[in-house]
Amino acid sequence: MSLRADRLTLTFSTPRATTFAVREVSLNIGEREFAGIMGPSGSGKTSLLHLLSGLRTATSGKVYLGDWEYSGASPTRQLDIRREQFGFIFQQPFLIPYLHVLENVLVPVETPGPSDIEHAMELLEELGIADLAHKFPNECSGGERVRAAMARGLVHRPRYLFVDEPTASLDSATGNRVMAVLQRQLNHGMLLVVTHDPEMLENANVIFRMRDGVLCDTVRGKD
Amino acid sequence: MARTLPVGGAIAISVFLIASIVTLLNSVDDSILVNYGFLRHFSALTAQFETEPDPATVKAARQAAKPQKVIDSVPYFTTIKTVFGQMPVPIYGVDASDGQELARLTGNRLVAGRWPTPNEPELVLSRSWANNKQAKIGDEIELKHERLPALEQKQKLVGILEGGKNLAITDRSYVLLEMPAAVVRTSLLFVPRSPSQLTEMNNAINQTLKAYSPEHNAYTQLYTYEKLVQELRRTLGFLYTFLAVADALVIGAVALLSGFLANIYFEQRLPEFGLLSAFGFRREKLARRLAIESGALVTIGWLAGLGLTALVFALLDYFYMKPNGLVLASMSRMALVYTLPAPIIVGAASLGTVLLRLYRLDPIEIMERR
Repeated sequence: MSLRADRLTLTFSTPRATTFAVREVSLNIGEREFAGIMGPSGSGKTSLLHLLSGLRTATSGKVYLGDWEYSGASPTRQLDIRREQFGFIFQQPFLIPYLHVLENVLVPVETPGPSDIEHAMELLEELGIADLAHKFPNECSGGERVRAAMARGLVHRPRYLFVDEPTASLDSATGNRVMAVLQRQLNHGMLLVVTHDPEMLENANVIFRMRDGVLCDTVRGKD
Repeated sequence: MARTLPVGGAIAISVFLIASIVTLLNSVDDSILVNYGFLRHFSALTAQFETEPDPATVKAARQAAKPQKVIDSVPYFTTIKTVFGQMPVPIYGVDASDGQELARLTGNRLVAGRWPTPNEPELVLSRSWANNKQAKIGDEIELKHERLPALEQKQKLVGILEGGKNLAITDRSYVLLEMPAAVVRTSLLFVPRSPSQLTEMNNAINQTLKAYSPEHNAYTQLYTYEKLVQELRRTLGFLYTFLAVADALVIGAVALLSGFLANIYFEQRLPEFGLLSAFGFRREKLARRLAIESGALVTIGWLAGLGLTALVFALLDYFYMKPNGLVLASMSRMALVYTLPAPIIVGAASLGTVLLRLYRLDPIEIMERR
C-alpha cells in the first residue's frame, strides 16, 4: 500500500509565537518505492518522518496508508500498525545495554521463533557483524551498533521502513553495504530515508526536498 | 543487574533490620516460654505467705482435678542470663524418686553424672542451664537470688539432663534442712493424666480455689503455662506496639529512599522504554513488564533480607547463644509478617513513580534528548 500525506502541518506554540516545523506538506510514496527526504539541518526532514510514521501527531493534515486514514485511527490501532508493519532506524542506535546484539535485533518481534532468529542472523551476516551476535552493545564500536540497529529495523520484514540518517557514522564502504541491505527492503515494501547525503539516494524513486518546513521540490527518478 | 543492586540492596537491608528487631523481641518471649516450658507438663500450686497451701483446699482440688499425681516440692530460685537480662527460674527440691519422675515427665534423661544424694548440697541441671551458668559436672554453683526464696550455700552440679524441657532438680530434704523455715514454700506439682488434659486439670483447680474457702486462698496461686503466656502478652503488648511504629518509620524511610533510587534507575532506562514505545509496544505492556520486573526485584530483595537475617542469627545462635545457654528465637511467621510491608510499600512506591513517568513518556522527546 502507498503512503500518502495530505497537507501535513506541525507547529510548536509558545506564548509569543507559533513555529512551523512542517507546513502543509502533501506527498505520495508508492508501495515498493524508495523515497528520500533531503534538506538542510532544521528544514523539518525528521519531523516529517515522525509525522508520516505516526510517532508524532500532526497539528493538522492527514496520513493515509493506501486509502485508509492511518492518522485518524485510535492510538492503540496506530500502535499495533506501527509494531506490525513499520520499521524504524533512528539516528542513534538506542541498543538496550543489558541485551546482547542478537537479542537487541529481535526486540521488535514479540515472540521470536527459530525462523526469526535465523533471519536476524542472516541480517547480521549481511551487515558484517554476525560475529558480534552474542556481544553486548558496550563491546561494539559505534558503527557496529548502528548496523545492529539497522538489523533491528529490518528483522520483522516491515512494509514501511523509516530511516533517519542511516550512514552518518559509517565509512563509505560500509555505508554502501548498508544501503544495499536497506534497498532489499523494497522486496517487502516501502523505504523512506531522511539524509543530507545525495549519494545515498542515487537509486531513489522519488526525492522530496524540504526547506523551512515546506516541501519545496519533488524529483521523480527511477520507476 | 548492577543497576538494580541499590534498590534490591535497600529492600534487603530494611528487611534484615526489621526481621532482626522482631527476632530479638521474640527472643524475649521465647526466653520465658522456653525456660518455663516445664509448665507444659505440670502446674504448681503455691501459697505465697504460707508454708503450704491450705490442706482442705488441696484435698478439694485433687478431687476436682483428678491429677495423675501430685508431687511435693520445695522450690527455691536462681537466675539465668537471657537476652533481656537476668531471669529467675525455680530449682525444685523433690524426693529422689519424684526427681526422676519429673525428669521423665518433661522429656529429659540423665546423660551425664548421677542424681543428687539425699541431704547433700547437690543438683542436676538441664544442659542449657548448665551452659548458661558456665558450669560442668563437679563445679560448685552460686545459686543465690536476692528477692525470691534461695539458698545461701553453693551447690555441686552432679548431673546433666538432656532431651526435654529445661529443668533443675535438687534434694528436698537438703532444702528443708538449709532453707530458713520462714521462707520455705511448699509447691504442689499437679501432674495431669496426659499432657492434653493439662488445661482441663488447671481449670478444675482454679474453680476450686475460687469456690473453696476464699479467705484461706487469697494468696494461693496456681502457676500454669497459660497464665504465663497471658501475662507475657500483657507485658509485651506495648513492646509490640512500639515495634509496629518502628516498623512503619523504617518502611517509610526505605520507601522514600527506594522511590528516589527507582527514579534514577528508570531515568537510565528511559531510552529503552522510549524505543519500545516508538516501535509500537503498548504502554500497558511496558507497564506490565515493569510491574513484573519490580515484583521480581522486591521479592528477591525481600528473600535476600530474610536469608541474611536467617544466616546471621543462625551463626549467632551456633557460635554464641547456644554455647551460653541463651535462647534466641528462630525466624518466626511474625518476623515474616512484619517484614512484608517493606517490599510491598517499596514496590508500590517505586512502581507508582515509574508508571507515572511511563504514561507521560514521549518517545520522540527521549530520542531527541540524545
